[in-house]
Amino acid sequence: MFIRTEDLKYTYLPGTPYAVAALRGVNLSIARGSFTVLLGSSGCGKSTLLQHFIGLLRPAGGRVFIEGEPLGYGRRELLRVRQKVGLVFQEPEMQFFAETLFDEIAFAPRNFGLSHAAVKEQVEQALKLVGLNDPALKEKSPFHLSAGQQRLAAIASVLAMQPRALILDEPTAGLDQAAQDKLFALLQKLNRDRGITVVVVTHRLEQVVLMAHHFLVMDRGRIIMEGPATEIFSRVEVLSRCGLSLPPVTRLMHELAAAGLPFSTALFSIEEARAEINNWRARRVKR
Amino acid sequence: MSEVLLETRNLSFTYPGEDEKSPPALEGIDLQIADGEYVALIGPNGSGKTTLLKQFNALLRPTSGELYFDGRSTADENNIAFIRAHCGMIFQNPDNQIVGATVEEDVAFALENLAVPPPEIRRRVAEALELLGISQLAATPPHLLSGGEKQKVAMAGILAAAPRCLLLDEPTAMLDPAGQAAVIDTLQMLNRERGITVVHVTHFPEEAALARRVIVLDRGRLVQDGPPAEILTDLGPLRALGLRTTAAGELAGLLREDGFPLCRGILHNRELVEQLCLFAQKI
Amino acid sequence: MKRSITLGRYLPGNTFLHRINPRFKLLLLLISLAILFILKTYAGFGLLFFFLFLSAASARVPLRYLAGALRPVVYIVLFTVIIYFFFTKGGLVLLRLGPLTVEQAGVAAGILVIMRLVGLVFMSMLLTLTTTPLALAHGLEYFLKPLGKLGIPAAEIAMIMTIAMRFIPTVSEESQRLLRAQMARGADFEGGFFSRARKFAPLIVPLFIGAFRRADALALAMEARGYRIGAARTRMCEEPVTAADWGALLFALAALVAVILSGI
Repeated sequence: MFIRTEDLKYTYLPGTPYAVAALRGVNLSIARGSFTVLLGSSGCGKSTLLQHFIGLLRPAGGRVFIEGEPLGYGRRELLRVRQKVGLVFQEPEMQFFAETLFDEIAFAPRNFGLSHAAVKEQVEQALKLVGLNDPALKEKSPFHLSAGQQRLAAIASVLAMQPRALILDEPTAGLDQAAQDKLFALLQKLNRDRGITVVVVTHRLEQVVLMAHHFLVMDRGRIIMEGPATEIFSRVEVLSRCGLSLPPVTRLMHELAAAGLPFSTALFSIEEARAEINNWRARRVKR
Repeated sequence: MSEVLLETRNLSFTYPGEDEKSPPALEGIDLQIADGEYVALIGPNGSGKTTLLKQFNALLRPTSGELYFDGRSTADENNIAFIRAHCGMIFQNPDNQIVGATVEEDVAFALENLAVPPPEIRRRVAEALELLGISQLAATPPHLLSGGEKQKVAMAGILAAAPRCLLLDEPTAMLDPAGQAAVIDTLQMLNRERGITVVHVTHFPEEAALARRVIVLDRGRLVQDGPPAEILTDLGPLRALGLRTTAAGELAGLLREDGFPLCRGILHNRELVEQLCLFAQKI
Repeated sequence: MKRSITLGRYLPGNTFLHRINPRFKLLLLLISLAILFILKTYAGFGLLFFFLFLSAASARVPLRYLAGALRPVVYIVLFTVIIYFFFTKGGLVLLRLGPLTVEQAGVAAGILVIMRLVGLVFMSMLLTLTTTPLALAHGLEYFLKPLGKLGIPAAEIAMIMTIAMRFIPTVSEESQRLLRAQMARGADFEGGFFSRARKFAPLIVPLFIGAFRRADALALAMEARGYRIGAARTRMCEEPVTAADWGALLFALAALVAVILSGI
């Protein structure tokens, strides 16, 4: 297991009238090299949970394990864990501060005290990974990139630490279709070709459902369901109770099945749905 | 055709400060939107959707050409207050448009700007909160609301001013599925029951499919204009712009290629379900 | 992370203190401050603190909120005490530390200053805990309005205050988020003051850019909703003045007169 939590608890503003229990005993395991999607409506505690993975928040109860070892909260240990597990916040381009794209991406590797040459090497690799390796871009201000490029640059700024796991909080929020497609393609490449463990919080399911191995469903501070897509998206009632939706194709198949057509509902891509309907016609016509 | 509410005549716009060689943000837009219409405005990032939307309530004004709201030009300074009072706008980020320290204070904001007498403000605020089903939040400070709730508050704030037209700039982009559904249901209700004209900029094909008219922009030009069943099923031009249609629309298109006898113009799940059920009875 | 209840936070409620008209509350604060600085005797301070605790209890303000509010001023108090203890001379010598002495007059003056500081903090806390920021801004606007003739834009100042207060929680959340986002990229904000100051660019720059972006968006949203500087506006809440408001004001004035006359 790469990341594991044991009965994790956290309360915001404890001891005030504004106290909110954000995590109420979270138990989860994320396998090394897996692609995991964390689902949950806004305010269910997803972002709070992610921040616990790298010790940005300290649990009121329970523990976090990274690669089997309990997470320590000393300065050195935290730095080591943050290098190993990269966390990309919501709208990460809001944290840009440097004058050039290069300096922005170099921020993280420099924080880990790498040599000048190693920093340069890691920045270039990260930019290449996200497809921003045009040399003209490097000296450009990160603020002058397009919205889609800014998002990719922000992800590169985390990838430059060469983490073994990448955690992203709603990475496609506010992007147009083309930029979303690009971003999901990048995540798949990182996971499949580089073996990076990916954990992503998102509501845009149509692409991610085809890539992810494992789904976690969170509701009011707890993990209430987990499993592969076929399992999770068969439990429509639980999902809708948590304010979540199905991937578009799956919802369509559910509606077709509800109308009495003999289709599987565990389908996630347009092509799968097309094949299913064509097979059905072939069977009907043969009879 | 009912009365024209919004009309542009050969509208072009260049952002001030852009050098003259760069292409204008909007170019030669000719458009009429009737009172009570529901229009979706789609196009890739940077196509000018938001810029056009801001023209409609005079937050931006044409560099050349004209824009008329209910027959009044936005070029005339004296019309601006009238236009903004009747043409409300909802922005993408729900956080940056709430002014009040509590929900009801925020809903009252536009009415306070119109110098409406206080008892009347209170009545209209209560009505707007009631209509959107958020009366219980009246005294809540905005930072304790969810994204969907914030957008509802923003809508209530506009509704209280009894507008004729609602402009929305990707209002659901930052929301979760429940918040999205709440905003879209509200929009449809306002259009259907109150006859409010809706112009909705969106990235989501499922949302565009709910409109009665879809307008496609590309690099500042109006490239397509028609009912969703026409525009969103014409996959070639959509793909060329990196746009997509609904799952039902896409699947129906592929099945027709496979020789299924399906009508053109399928976009919604229930339409595809109906057609496939009909087909099942035939074979 | 500090999660103490700070100045400027409102504690919802519907007690006598909560209901007093904000204009009157500001006047009450002013009078109480006057009393605080006129008082000279321990008996007087005892009486004042008794009233403060009584008001806090009636407004259902937990004592730990008041105590918590003292935390940020502890250093100021300590500093003042040291200055007064060692540098105000007169009366008996109570303590001798090499060349330095602590004398009776110094201790007396020090205690007086502590009382005043603590009283000041308690009073402002009581005001902000029982008054919404908005009501406070309206109250201030009322007193600024006569200055309009001197060219001071009272309504706009009140609007700025309202918006500032509305955005305090938002901006503080944002800065927390930013801090953590940079820490996720390996930034280390521990260490001494100077090494910290050097590391602040990755926090300050995005915070400012974010604030400008937000201000821009907000200005647009306000304009879209018909806000125009200098235009006549009305207000939803009328904040009526009640007999209780006058009663509280008269009581405070009477107390002030009593303090002056009795010299306690």
